[in-house]
Amino acid sequence: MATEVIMPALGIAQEKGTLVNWFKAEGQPIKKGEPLMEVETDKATVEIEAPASGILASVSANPGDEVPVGQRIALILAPGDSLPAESETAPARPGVHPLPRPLPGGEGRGEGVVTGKILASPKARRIAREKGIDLALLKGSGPEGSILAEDVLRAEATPTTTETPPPKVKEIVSLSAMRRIIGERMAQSKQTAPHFYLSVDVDMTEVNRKRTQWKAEGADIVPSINDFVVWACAQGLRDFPALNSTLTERGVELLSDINIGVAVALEEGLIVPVLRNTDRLSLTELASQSRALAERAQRKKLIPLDYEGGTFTVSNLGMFGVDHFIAIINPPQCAILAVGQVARQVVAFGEGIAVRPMMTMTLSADHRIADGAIAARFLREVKRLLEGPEFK
Amino acid sequence: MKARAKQDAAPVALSREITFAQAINEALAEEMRRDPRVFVIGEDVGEAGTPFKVLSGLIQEFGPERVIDSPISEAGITGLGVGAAMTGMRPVVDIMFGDFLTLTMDQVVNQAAKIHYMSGGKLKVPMVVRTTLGATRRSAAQHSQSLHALFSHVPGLKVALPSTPYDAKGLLKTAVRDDNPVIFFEDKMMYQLKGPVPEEEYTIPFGVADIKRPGTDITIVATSSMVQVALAAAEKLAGERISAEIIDVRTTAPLDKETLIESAKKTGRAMVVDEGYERYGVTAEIASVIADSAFYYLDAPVKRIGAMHVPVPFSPALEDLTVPTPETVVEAAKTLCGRI
Repeated sequence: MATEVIMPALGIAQEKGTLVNWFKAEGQPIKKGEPLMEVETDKATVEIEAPASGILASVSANPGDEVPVGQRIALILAPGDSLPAESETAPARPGVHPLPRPLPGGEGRGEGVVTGKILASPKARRIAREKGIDLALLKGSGPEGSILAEDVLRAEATPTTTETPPPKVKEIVSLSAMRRIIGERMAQSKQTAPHFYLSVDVDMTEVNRKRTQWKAEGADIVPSINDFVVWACAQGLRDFPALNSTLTERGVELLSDINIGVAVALEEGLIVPVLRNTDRLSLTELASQSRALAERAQRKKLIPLDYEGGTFTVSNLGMFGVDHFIAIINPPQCAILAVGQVARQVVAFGEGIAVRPMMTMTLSADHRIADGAIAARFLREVKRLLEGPEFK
Repeated sequence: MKARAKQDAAPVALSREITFAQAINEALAEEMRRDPRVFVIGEDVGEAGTPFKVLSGLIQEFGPERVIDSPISEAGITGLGVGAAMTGMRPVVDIMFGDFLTLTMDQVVNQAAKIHYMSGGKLKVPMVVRTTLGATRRSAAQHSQSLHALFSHVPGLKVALPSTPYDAKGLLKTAVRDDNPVIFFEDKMMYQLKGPVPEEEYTIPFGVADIKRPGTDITIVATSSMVQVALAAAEKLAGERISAEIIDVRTTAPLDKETLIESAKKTGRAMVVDEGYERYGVTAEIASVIADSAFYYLDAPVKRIGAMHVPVPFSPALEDLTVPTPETVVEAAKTLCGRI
């Protein structure tokens, strides 16, 4: 019996996966449990093991192909198996075939669609690649309408409009799955969630004092400034469930788990690993877990459990010297806290003035769920926790 | 990358013009005067000075011991040449028609080409086999072939294909001085071609192609008399505002790949013209070299024009159709440039 190899779902809301690599070629034998392929989701790259032993056959996805979750991309044939007839093959999900692209201005080969390869000479292809010119937009003057070098050079010399030419493209970087997902989710958030923003300054003297004390005591792990902020948010959210919620068709789902995500910058984008039940973690536990998650994120070793199920997000750009910024809510969450650096500031203190380590936090919240007063009270509580001495 | 020789194009203003045959004659005479080990052997090379009168006068100057009339036995005289070369002489073996090279194949391919290698470098074969190629002399199928591809194919042999009197003299002197067996092909239809040749001594290194005419639109690589055909074609193409660059490889082994590739990269179009049979021929090898290294600079596939895949006919009307002409080269060049 042939075993189907399908594009696996590695995340809860994942619709498509990109095949990065086959570890076996078609026709090669493979044992159950051996690495079969590498799949990239919007969050991570994961090795997938063979679901059965046999011969890899009917491979229909190539490295780089984006395939809907659940679609069959290969078969593993057991001894004695033969390839199933064409009609037995699993139908592809609708909507995965790219639409034919119409040619601009109805020019070209008369059909109005590009059906196959673009005919272009090697020289034309090289020049087009170097100059970032899209061959699909050109009309060729060579045999069978093929595009020649001079067609590309002419296209470069003659801007398509009479207006000033667009800036020249140096290089085209195709979007990674992560880049595309970040774009889609941030656009979705800004377009659907009416954001409002509240800022507050926090005196970080007590946090600094505590950290200095732990350092002096030789603690194994000294929580970072951000760990303190995450801890304070987690504690604060217990009293403000509206900010730890998700808007659904049924209504606002107030979530009993408080799972705080911490944005981690990567070279190719960012990812938000999640600290589960953050409110039940001591500062030291929290620090140790967040460190491990950040390290796994940098090495791209996060598994879906590490970054799914977040209920609130903290984004900190203090390490880059940023004083203050506002963040876009990470859907489907209700709020996100943007944290700036701790910097020595001259502030009113008691009846006089003093130089104190100050930090600005800005909360972005979804106005469909929460109003300014609730958000303000939550923010005041986080501030109080950070300024108070009762860290644990 | 090999060093380029500086002096390898004919000086611009030369007062003296001689024929291709005279250039060959001069080269041999000078080398025989310079080196007493050099001798000539072949059929009718003595008093007759070959049927093409290329060697006239040599026997008078050097005597029958150094200009040896041989029996009609190409295998024999070539074997004699291999042995003489191995034992310290520098023979120049004359094979009247290139078609007769087939009789020398074992001596050339299995002996001359291999001995230096198989003796661990202890023996060498500084032999030149001078012979002819080229059709359109109404000499029929056994006296009209251009078989230089067969020898360009074999490791251990060098193959020279001069296209002008100047190149003929300079390349032949280099061939005589080379310690390896050299097959030297002269187009019998070019013997009366005149061209500038300086009085003073010069040689032309092997493996250095010559740009016979610079151009910008298409590269035409040619060998031997096909260089003259290509130059005539370039003249016609210029009238149609197509600027052809004509490259003479001068030796197919060693082959100056770099010059071919650079030219093809510059013009973006290339064709190869050779009088040998097109199938599996010199044109195929050169086209492949260009396609391999200049692929991303080409606007069109590399075009080959060689001799038709038929025994050369005796009928003049038919014979002329089997080899490249300026007209066929012009037509192919215009097609490559999108002008037809």
